[in-house]
Amino acid sequence: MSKSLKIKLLSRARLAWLLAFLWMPQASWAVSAIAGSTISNVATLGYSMGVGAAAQVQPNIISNATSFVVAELIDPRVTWQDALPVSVNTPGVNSVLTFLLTNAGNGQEVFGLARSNAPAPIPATNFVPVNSVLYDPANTPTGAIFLETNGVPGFQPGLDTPYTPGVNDPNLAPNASQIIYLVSDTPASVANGSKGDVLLTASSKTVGAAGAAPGTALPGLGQGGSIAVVGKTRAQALSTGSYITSGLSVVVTKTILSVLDPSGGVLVMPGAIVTYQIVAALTGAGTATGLVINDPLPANTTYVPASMTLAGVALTDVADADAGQFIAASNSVSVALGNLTSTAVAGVSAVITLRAKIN
Amino acid sequence: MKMTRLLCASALLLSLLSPSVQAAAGAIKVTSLAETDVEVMKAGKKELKRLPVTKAVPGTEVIFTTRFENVSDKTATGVTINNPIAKEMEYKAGSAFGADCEIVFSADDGKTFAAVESLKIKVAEGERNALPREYTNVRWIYKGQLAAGKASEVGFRAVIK
Repeated sequence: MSKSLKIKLLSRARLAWLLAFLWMPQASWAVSAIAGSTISNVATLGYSMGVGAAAQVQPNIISNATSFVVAELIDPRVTWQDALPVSVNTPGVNSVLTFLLTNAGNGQEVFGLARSNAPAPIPATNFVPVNSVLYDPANTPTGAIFLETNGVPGFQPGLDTPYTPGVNDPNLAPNASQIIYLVSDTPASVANGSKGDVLLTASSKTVGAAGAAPGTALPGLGQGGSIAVVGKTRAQALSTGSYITSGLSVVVTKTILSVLDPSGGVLVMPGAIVTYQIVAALTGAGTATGLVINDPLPANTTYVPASMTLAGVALTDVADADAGQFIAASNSVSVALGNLTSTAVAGVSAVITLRAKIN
Repeated sequence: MKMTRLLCASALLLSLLSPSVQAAAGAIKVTSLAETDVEVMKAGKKELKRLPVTKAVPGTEVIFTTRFENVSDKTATGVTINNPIAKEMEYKAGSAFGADCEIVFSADDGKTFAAVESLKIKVAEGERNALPREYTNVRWIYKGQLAAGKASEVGFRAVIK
């Protein structure tokens, strides 16, 4: 083999590897038989005529070719992406639910979108979300739906595109996905902890597909003129997302846990060490973000160095990776609790302790 | 020049003297089929009926069958049948069938063949057993003699990816 040919073969192999990598399906339900493609099969038979030493090898015989065209499976999937019901205020505006529409079929397919606020049957304690008045004052089934456009996670008004039926219906290749946002308002005076559901439906725009029984064949309507076949989602994927009204509140209480005087007693006197406990308790459902507890020490007390703990774990006094620091300028301790998520049932709390010496 | 003429003449003579080559094309009739088992209702009961493939959506299990029949008046031996598995298909483990056959598989587009338990595939760390979905070809080695007029069939199942 010549050197140049070797190099060519190598680069071809590399290219093939690269292409194989690029085409590697990313989704877990990946399919690779593209609708409209033809699968052929030809068998080859080799044999000898005669028995034993007299047997003569004969030329191979090629069978007829069987072939069939891969039909298009219409199989959209919609999944609600928020891990928990999205906390809303009452009244509240422009709260976002996030959904993911995936074309799990094997052909290019266009999907129409619609929302249903508080789909029946509505649980007795649920409230009815309404379309965001800012984006859809008419509260229509196709209003206040946005398509992720700018590639930045989360809904960005003005950058992600409003959905207009028949104009920008998601047109997805096999295994491709589209992130969809539903923006809603919450009525006033809803009881804390009430849920409000919104159902998103993505329906195949192939005529006769959406809602048809699984297995329904639509000749000629598939990709490349193939048969379209309705998948198990009836060519109409549904998913419900939820809001929850949040009565989230933070109550901070500070108590004296113990006093130790210089003679080993419990008298509050100069030189005594006082141990304080601060409890930040969250009640109601929701997440308090960037929660910081600042506690100025009482007058005539001095912070005992390295005496701060959070949930029983010691914190250093300097501003560093851990949550706590002592700020000499203001004679105070500061503990950054970050994001605390509370559920309506359980609540959540953070316990801080520190010691101070009475001057 | 003379030598060339002599070679040509002897080649012509040889071809005339070996009628088996001429008859080969028609000695064994080979027919391929691609079918699926479809559920049909018969007298109020569900029943599987084997029909040619029509609604070939991903996930459909296709039965590929090769029928072969000795239509000559002589006995054939050393019959082997090769069938490639289309790239869009995934071989169904344990589905290959064929009476009086040794069945071997390839995972390298038919370059090498081995039985299921010894079919290897090269990977970065060396080699490992090939998975059924990596099979690229099936080969049946017919162990018996195919007497004049005798017919048999071999096949396998594969699922559309």
